[in-house]
Amino acid sequence: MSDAVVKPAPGQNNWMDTLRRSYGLIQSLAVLALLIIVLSYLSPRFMTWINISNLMAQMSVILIVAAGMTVVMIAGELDISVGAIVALTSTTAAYLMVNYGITAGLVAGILIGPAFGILNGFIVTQFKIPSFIVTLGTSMMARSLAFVVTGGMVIAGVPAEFKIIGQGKLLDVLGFTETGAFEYLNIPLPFLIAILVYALVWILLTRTAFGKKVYAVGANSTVAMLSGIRVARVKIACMMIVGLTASLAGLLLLSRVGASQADSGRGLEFEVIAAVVIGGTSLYGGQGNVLRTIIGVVIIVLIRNFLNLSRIDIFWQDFATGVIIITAVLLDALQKYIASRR
Amino acid sequence: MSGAEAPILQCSGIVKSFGGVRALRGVDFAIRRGGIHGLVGENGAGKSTLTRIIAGIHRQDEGSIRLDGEELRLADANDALARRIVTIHQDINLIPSLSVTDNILLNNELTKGGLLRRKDGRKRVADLLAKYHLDVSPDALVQTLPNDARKMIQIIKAVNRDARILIMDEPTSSLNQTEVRVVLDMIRSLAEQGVGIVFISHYMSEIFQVCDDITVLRDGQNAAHLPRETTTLDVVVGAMLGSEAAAAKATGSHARRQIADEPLFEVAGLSAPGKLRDVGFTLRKGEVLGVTGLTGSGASDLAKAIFGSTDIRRDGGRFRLEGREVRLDNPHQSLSHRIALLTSDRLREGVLPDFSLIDNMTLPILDRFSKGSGFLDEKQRREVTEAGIRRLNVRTSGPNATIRQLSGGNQQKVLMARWLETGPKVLILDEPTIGIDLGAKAEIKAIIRDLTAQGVGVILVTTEIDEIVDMCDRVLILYRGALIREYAGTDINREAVLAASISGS
Repeated sequence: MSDAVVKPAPGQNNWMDTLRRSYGLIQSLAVLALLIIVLSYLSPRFMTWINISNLMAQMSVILIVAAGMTVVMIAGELDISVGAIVALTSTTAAYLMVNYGITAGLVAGILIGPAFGILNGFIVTQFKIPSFIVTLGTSMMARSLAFVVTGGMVIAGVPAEFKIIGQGKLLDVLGFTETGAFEYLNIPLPFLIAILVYALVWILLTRTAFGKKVYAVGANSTVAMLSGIRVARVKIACMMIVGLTASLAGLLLLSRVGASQADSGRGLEFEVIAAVVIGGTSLYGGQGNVLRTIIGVVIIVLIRNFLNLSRIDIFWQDFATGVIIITAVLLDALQKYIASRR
Repeated sequence: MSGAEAPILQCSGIVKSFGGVRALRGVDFAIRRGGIHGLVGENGAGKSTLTRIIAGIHRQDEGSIRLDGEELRLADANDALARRIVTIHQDINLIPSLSVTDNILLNNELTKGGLLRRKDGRKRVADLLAKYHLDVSPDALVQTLPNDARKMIQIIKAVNRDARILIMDEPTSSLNQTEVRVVLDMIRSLAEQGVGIVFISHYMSEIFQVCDDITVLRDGQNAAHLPRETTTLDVVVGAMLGSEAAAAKATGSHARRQIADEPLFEVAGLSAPGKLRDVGFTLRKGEVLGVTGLTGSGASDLAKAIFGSTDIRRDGGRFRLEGREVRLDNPHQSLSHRIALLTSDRLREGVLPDFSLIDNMTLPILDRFSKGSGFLDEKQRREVTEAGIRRLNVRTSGPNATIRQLSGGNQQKVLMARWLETGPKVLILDEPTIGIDLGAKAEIKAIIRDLTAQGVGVILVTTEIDEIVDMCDRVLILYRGALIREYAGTDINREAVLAASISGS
């Protein structure tokens, strides 16, 4: 068949293909740029370092959870219990820290998410129940437990040492009193933690065998199973990872606010899922890029900021978030259409 | 058929490229009213691309298509349907949970005032089923029907669309020999009603049975256009393979070898509810053991049951590999004992279409590339893939290409390479040459012989009798899930195997 080999033409059409493949990225970057322009126009305060570093600190919680959610969604599942896990983690940790010290709170807090993740993953894989339903159930359980822990009250009085993590900034913590020209290096610690989480998840997804398995399981679990991949294990691990990020986010939230209540993190799951989809991860699994999730989160957070700055009635904000989610899914479909056109 | 009649559809100078690979390089093709046009060629010759362009799925880069003499510009596949150009895909795409009636009338329902005319619809379908001698109830759920009935329903569904051009991509590949005849009869009667038919098949005997003329593609170009009545198999095969015809065609009969009586792999008491009943056999070192039977006889199920695929519920079954009892409860365990399975359903159980060749080929052996540090050794993955591409002669623009860009036969070669890379002691192949052209078939057969020479035991599940006669040292015949007969060596012949498969005795 040697005469049948068509030599690929190197370079030919390559840039067009690259352009098509990166269409989604270009699209989300364009939306981001547009938002930044509109926001700077609306408010002169927007582009100040104070506002930006505030935004960084604020978005850290959703950023971290979105990293875990990206993993789960690539594996073809969803976890809508993250909001409740954030609440249960932060209330439990607050209760333990106030009564038994920081270590007890940290250890117990960080274990709650992975424990729920194992439970979610076990039910999903062993009984073949959609993760949406399973996590809806565990979400209610976790939220209820959060209320049990707090008795419906706010738990305050978290040790000051612990609050440094959530409230500190890089240069302040390192002991610089005069930041001056290096103001821009004075990044909020939670944001740095979030970036570290993204680096780790990115490495996990793109540089390890586990990451490849996550993509394969999400794309076609039968093919993965027949290739000897233990699909249930991979899915349980993914549910654990998103639980871990939810707990980490819960601890950061507690540290930043300094107090906790059972009602925190309500609706967080949908904001996170919207951000992941805007970042180009498929709702059907098998494809996605965790770094692009960052763009999705920034877009969601900036839109919220925009709604605040433009003084739109607060009751309209969820309406706007809903519109954004649907728009994101439509853009996802458009993106696929363009990528598949030849 | 009068050759003077103007064609309904005329393609001229069709050119089409995907990425860097030119799939079609100026192809001409015409379809006449009431004609059955055979379209043959090796994998990657451009058959699928050409028919997809006619069906509106792809658009040609250059060249023109004329329908009834008028320039045709199809917006998409629906546009083609609206012009009554209907494609019957190789894969059966019916909705299993719906009834026969609902499937056939899907998106084409009889309604009155927005409500379904259920009785009329059911009657229309009953008439169609009777017309084509298909003995199933219009109310039966498709998931309860055997494969061949599904294929017939798929064709009837297309016919009900009032097709004037019908493109059939390997319509018989999922059928066994008796069922093929029924489908071919149906195709002939459709042509008599004036439908123009494009018939793509690797089964030359079928091409010669039904086609009026035969167009041979090679390398994305017209290699020959031959009227059936005046041509021969040798001419067609020669045109398909080009200058190297002789070499590839010489697939001569498998010399009956003496296999040392050294048991490699033993299966005992293997059952699966509703699918397999107490199957047991021994595979020897270096042996090709054929497993065959009618569609639904359980041959494919046997392959999956041995491998421990979790979509088959096993009920008893013991395995011994090289004399030691082994557990094969899931594919992971089987692979760790170096037992591998190439499944027949490439689309659903084989490839990850949007993933690269590297990802597809190294999927079962990922852990091998992350020893020590935990990080994947991408260089090594690429090298292994490149070696696989060379070994199997895969036609691709490179290891980073997505497997979707390859033709079906080349995808199959990638999958073959995937399983070879696992270093199997026992290789189970389920219809490894389905939908594959003669050249690739010969290559795959050569690889199987290579493997057996190295002592690998091959279990070859196939419904192609020629393949059994050609390849197997022994053959097991399954009938309704039970092992009913075994032939060995020179006792393997077409008549005996076919008779046992059909009669069950």
